[in-house]
Amino acid sequence: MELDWETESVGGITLVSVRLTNERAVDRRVRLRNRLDGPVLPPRRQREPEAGWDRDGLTAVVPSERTVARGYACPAPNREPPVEIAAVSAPAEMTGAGEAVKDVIRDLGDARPPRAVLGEDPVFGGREPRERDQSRQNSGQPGNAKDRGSGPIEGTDQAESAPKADLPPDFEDGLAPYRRRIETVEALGLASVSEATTLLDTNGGVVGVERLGKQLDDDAAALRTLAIEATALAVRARTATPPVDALRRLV
Amino acid sequence: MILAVAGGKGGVGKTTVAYNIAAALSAVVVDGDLGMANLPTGRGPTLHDVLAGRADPWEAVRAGPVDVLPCGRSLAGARAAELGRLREALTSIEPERGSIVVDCPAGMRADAGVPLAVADATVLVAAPEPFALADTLRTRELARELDAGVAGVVLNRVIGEMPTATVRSALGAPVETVPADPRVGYSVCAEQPVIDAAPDSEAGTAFERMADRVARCSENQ
Repeated sequence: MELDWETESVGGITLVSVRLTNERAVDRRVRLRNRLDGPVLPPRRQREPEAGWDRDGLTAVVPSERTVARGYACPAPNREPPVEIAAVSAPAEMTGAGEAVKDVIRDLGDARPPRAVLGEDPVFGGREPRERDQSRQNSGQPGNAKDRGSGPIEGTDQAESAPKADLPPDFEDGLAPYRRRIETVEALGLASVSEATTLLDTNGGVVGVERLGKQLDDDAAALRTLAIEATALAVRARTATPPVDALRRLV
Repeated sequence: MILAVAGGKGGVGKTTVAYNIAAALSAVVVDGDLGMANLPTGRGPTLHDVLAGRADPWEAVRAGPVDVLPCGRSLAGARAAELGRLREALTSIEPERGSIVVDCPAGMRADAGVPLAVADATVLVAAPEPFALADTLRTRELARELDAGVAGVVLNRVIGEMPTATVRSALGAPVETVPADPRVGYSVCAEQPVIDAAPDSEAGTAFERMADRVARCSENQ
């Protein structure tokens, strides 16, 4: 059995292409083992891995005097050789009972309702989540109720991972009234009876507090719009670079 | 044995036929319609939980005039259910119960195909209309490909005389007809099988005869 491979690394993922040539006059079954430092991400149809693939590699039958090509991805840096032949044996029946069910799923297609119809997330509920959302869900830490309650805002993941800078004073002043209103309402929920009475007096009684509650809804909408605008501008700021060299040549 | 009650078109009465054949076979009836469950449910785990690996199949079986393994009603449950676990779930209750009847969903996607891949035999359900028969033919082809031989066809909600001979030759399987009678449909939600409530009725004898055919299929295997 001859093994020939090629690799390509893209964004931390190594793509491994393999060619297996069986030079003998009989079909042979081969077990390939991944040597890269990560799990095998096999080709899939309808979310179901193709037959023969598992977490560590591939088992395939190579017909006599033929070459078959296979490929997989692995979230690990490249190293050589990326893959090795672990065993070669006579071809045995590969389609067990479990494989028949998987074949049906691959051929007929997933019938599960799309995630978008579940409406789990108030922000992303209306459409299929994008890759970033999936990576968050796959990490085994789905947004808990508290996270959802506070209303995740597009791009906040990125903003959190980016180094935080101090807000310019103008922005700080602009946010101050919002912060004051939110802190007042939060304090009302935690305060003792006497403290609450004082807070009620200073905020125009029950009517004033009710007005404050309504104001908070508007505040939330305004802050969310601000966050979306700010995130979009941050992305543009990060990607836009002045063509200094070209301008220097002009001068 | 595991029997799939299938038919491409929705609303032809697959659930009613599955429930009543299960009654005649003293089988557990499994609601395999993961997206639009029909069989009566109650408190406790459902097939959604079993297929999501959260419950044992035996925990989900609910005793009644016909024992039911119900299916959940939520879209989130349907999304979390892994069809790949269906075979294991059904084969784990089969040895003790002998017969399992799976009420399959409409359509030709994997949720309709996997029960056929798991089943030993199929009963097709068709409405007595030409366009419904086209769907039934497609389901028959799929059942044959997946080695779930067709034990028979139930023509449901029949009014007047039916050209059963034509249907038989088109589908290549014995045909039983169930007359259009709203009481047959009520048997599921009232949990009162027709063979108990009206054993001598036309519908009752049709279900008994189809159950006999299925039992003979299972003996021949």
